[in-house]
Amino acid sequence: MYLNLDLSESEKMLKRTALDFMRREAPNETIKALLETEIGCTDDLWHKIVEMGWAGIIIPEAYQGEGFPLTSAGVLLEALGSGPLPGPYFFSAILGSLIVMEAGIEEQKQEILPNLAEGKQILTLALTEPEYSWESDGVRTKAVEDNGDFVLDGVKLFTPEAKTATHFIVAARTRNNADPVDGISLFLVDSRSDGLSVNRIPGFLSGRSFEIKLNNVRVPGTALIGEKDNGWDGLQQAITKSIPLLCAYKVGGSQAVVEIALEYSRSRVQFGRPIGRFQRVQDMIIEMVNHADAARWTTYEALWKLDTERPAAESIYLTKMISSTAYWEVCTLAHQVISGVSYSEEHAVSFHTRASRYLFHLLGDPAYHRHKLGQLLVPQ
Amino acid sequence: MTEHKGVLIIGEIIEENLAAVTLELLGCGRTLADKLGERLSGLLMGSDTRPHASKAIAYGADKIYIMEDPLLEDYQSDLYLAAVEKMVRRVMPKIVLMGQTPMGRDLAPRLGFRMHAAVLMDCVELDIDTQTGRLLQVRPVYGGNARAVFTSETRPQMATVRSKAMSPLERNSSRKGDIIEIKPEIDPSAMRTKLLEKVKEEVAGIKIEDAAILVTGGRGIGGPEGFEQLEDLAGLLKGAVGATRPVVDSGWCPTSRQIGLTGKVVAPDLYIAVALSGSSQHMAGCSGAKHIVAINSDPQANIFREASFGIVGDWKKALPSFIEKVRELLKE
Amino acid sequence: MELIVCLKQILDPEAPPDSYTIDQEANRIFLPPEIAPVISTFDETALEAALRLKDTHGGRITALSMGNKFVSDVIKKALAVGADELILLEDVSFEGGDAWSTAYALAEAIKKIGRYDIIFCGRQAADWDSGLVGAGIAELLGLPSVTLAKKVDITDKTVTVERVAGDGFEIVKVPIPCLITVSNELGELRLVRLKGVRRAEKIQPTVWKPEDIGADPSRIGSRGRLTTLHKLFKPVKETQCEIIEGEDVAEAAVNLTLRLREAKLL
Repeated sequence: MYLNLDLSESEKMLKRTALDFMRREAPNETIKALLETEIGCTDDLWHKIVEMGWAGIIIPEAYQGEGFPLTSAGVLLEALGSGPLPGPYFFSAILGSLIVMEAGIEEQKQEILPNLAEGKQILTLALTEPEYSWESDGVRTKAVEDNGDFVLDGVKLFTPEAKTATHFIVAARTRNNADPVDGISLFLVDSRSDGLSVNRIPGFLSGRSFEIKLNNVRVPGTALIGEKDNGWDGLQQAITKSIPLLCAYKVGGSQAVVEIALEYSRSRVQFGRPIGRFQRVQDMIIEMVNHADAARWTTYEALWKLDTERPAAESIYLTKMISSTAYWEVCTLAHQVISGVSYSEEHAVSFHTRASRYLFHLLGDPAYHRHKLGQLLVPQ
Repeated sequence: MTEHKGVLIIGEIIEENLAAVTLELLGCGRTLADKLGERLSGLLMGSDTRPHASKAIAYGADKIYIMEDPLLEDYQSDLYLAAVEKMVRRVMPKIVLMGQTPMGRDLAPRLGFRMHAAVLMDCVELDIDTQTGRLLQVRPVYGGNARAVFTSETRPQMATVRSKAMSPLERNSSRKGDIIEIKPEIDPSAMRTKLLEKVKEEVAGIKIEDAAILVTGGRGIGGPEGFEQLEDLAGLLKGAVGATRPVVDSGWCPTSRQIGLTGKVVAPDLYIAVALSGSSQHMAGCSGAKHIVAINSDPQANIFREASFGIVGDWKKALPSFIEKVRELLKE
Repeated sequence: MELIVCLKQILDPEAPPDSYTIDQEANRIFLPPEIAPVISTFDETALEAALRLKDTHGGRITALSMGNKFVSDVIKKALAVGADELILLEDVSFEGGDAWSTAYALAEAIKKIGRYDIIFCGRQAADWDSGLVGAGIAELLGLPSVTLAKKVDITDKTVTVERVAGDGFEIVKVPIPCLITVSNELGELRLVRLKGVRRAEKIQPTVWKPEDIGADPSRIGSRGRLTTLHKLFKPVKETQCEIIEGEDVAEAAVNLTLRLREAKLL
């Protein structure tokens, strides 16, 4: 008996606390209200998240973080996804921390990571551009060295939670080279910098994505994270590690939707019996459970591989494909099971539907990850 | 061993009046005493208890003991405990009943442990087992999700009774009974827990336990501002506004408005439940309502299983037109 | 200051009403295994009361619980939020008791702990809802008590308590050592921070068996009961809710008033 999918004592405690937190601080009405804002998270709510220690969950204790393994962070994100709690948490505490940890030099880790853990700095990643791509060849924004400073120029489209972030991690080209990976540098850009404008991209399913225009934005040389021209690998490492945590958030969302639909199918009576007893409805419920479970196990397998330092790339591509599709499908099916009221903007299923559509594309959609997995399994 | 006989109720005088629950205890105590073929007595404590004693007799008691002392004016746990213990040891009843009130919740358990006699709290039905002559005590458990029937293995058999669970008798002023004064012999030095002050949290208008129509809001109201709309509706209907435990715990409403297992028990004719889920703990306080109307955006909310009429939708959209139409109908 | 908080692990009272099943033979209630037990909410509030005193006046909190089959990640929450020690009276012979056997065992354990200024209990357990055990411990230990506290503070050797009562509250003074039962109005137990999760990893509970507290076997568990439970049943609900519809919610609300007028309720 070696296979053990049970959570540890601490993880169970964390899970229960996070669900309690959601019940107290982010009930449906709060989430609905937050979804309508540009910020997705109030100062008060962010302060509470920071107080819990969650902003530093994966940051090592040496940098004033809490030093928990990625699996524990997955448990937390799963609970947050049950809301789904909007806001900058994933982008700053997970992806932002990982970028600094993977790409930053020691001094930068010492300077930035404690600020992230204490919630004083909130990061987001400004990577994609009008030529939408998660690959290095999509980076066209330019950064030119000038008297020890850098001057950035370009447009970053679909930057998440840009109104809440205090700083953007901007991927920009410092050198043109035949190999698109070569010549990309990462910059920590203060969101209040001169020459920088932030505008929300409208749309029911666009989450909180923003267009960031960098019009000759001057940043000091110290804003360069890691080595000049060599930022891409660290960024890729960080994104790859963050993906299963984003998937954990989707697992939480999928699970919540399954539970809502299941409860409805048990209690809603039509033609003299609960609708869940009709085979058509039952089939949909089973399909939902199938999706949610597939997302869960691929996600936790990837996290386990990362925490135990096993090669994890295959599992990560796989879980991004499966979890994104699962969340999307589970929501679609829930609307069919519940119909009517589930389409209203107040209904929790509609929160999830919006999140599932937006997150489907974030950090690469299933087609992209399928392609990556293919390349890995059958190298060119 | 002395034989235990009769039923004794411990009455309460609140704001110069016999408490409603005391009248209910007299009604229920009368029935039990008649089934046993024994007598119903009562105890009243305070400073001017005689008029209340006559009233208690009119409501069913055969005998009322009174204990008068200025120190007994308000409930003081150590003094009341000593006084009631003395009374129970003297009367040696088969059954002792108290109301499930702030006093009963404090006094009954301590009395039970002091006398090594079991107490069953918050009973909603009491009966005599015709075969054994024992007191059958029915109380809700698991927040009202289940009910349990108990008997006590010790004497006297003690219980506290939920308010509004029993009905008082019709007042009959021609009923005869004895009023017996007992010297409380209070020892102030025994008072370790001392009541210093009573703070009233005034609620304007009708008290929730007296209102025929109640408008109650739950956590879904979202904040204290929303309760102003509920006040409007309650004012229009000459009713009162109630609240659930989460609402009170969040400080949106004073404690005196809390309805439920840990708050007040109400039984209005019409109970309008707005943005509350209808947890068992809440329903324990309002299941006596004749008609429940629910407004909630979650069609799966438990309140729809308890309500006779309901709307599924956002209360913020429903309430303004509801209020407007009610105003129109009432003008006709 | 030495504070003791009594905690009970119970079936989750927030579980949906439909999930409760009753075993008529054994007169016991069950929930499906996926619904984890919880610490009784009122006991959590009692723990919060103790933590607030510790925050302002310092001291040590000992959490004490009696039962069988404790779930460690549930009961160790007490340590995670700040209790310094957790003592579990854990044995099969503690099972099946009532308030009398429970108060007896807890009082014996408290005697063994020895030092205490205030003992905190919840106003009632959120499963059987009796509200007897706190008073029972006070009576067995000969301590003064205050029930239904919504605020607790201490100056010198006197505790001032705001006690929930009817249309307001009472201000009550009581000397230490004493026992206080706490009501939900005091506020929810604080959440477990990540630092607390680490804290709970480092402190292991102490387990005491009946013989460790010198308990009289005839007074604990089912043997120590003073009450008999004859029957446990679900109350029957007969209402069928008539959902009032409309083009939109506002119209449904208008239709509702008309329906209520028709039913002579308005």
